[in-house]
Amino acid sequence: MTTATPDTSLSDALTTLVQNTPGVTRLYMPTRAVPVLGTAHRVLTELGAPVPAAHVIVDPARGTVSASVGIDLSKSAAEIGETVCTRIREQLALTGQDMNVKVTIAYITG
Amino acid sequence: MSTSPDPIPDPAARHLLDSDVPASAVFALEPEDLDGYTVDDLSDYLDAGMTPRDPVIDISPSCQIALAALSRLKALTATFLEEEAALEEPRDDTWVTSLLENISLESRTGRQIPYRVAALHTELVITEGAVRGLIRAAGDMVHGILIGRSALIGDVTVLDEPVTVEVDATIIWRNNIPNAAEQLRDAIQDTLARNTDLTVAGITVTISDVHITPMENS
Repeated sequence: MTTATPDTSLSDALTTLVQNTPGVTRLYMPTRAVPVLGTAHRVLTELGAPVPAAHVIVDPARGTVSASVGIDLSKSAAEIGETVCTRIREQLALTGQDMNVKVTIAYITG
Repeated sequence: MSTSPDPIPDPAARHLLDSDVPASAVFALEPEDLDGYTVDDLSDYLDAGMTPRDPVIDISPSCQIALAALSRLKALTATFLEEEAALEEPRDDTWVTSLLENISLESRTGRQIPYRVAALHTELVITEGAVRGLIRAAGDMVHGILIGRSALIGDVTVLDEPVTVEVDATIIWRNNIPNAAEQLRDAIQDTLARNTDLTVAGITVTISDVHITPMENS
């Protein structure tokens, strides 16, 4: 029995491609919640530690590419998502691969 | 993460149990673990400056949705908190607490909602949690109203299947309830039409609470 291993180099390349798609949240700025004046009220402030917001996993054994993205609303969610799909398909075509592509809009910021 | 739903603790959601609602819709209201975390866990993590780094939180869409929702809540509540802080009277924290609790609910990734995609072998979906974030953001644009719970009723995983949106909201005292509810419905309808392929058959807005400032109380 063999164990399928994700294609990390292609995954990394596609992640970079997806991150650079207009409307995709490249880095996400988390917020922090702090209590105010000893009450249950909270005030939230931004932290200066952004985290990656897009992830792509390529599974050659299953012939699948799965992308999870956060997006802003600079365009409609459908437009941004379709652009991500198109970019992934074009990149796969350049490398001579034909895989099933699934893009999940996981969250929205902005 | 539990495999069976716990009893729903959210009083605002209890009426769903009494009506003819699909089980899947009720399950969608189950308090979400945020990938094993609570909102308080996230607050503690962030208060600690996110050190040591927790990769689960950092890449968790549901945690990120919760953080985004908390951020929006900050902007909306800041004014009210400042007003109340200026009055040295006991504060009613319940409405803020209620909103925070619902952020946990809506942050659940939930079901996957498809788009129509022309390309072969290509699937594009948006998570139910992200759509709830859209609904909340739409509500944030309506003056004098704050969205609490929201729910998508119906099989959202099937294109063209009619779904209804149910929203509970808090209104700030002295705002016209029918007008605010109508504006909220319009804002939700617009954002769902623009950003999803959902077939929205109806939007029900329930004003479940009125927030009265201490000044109004006196």
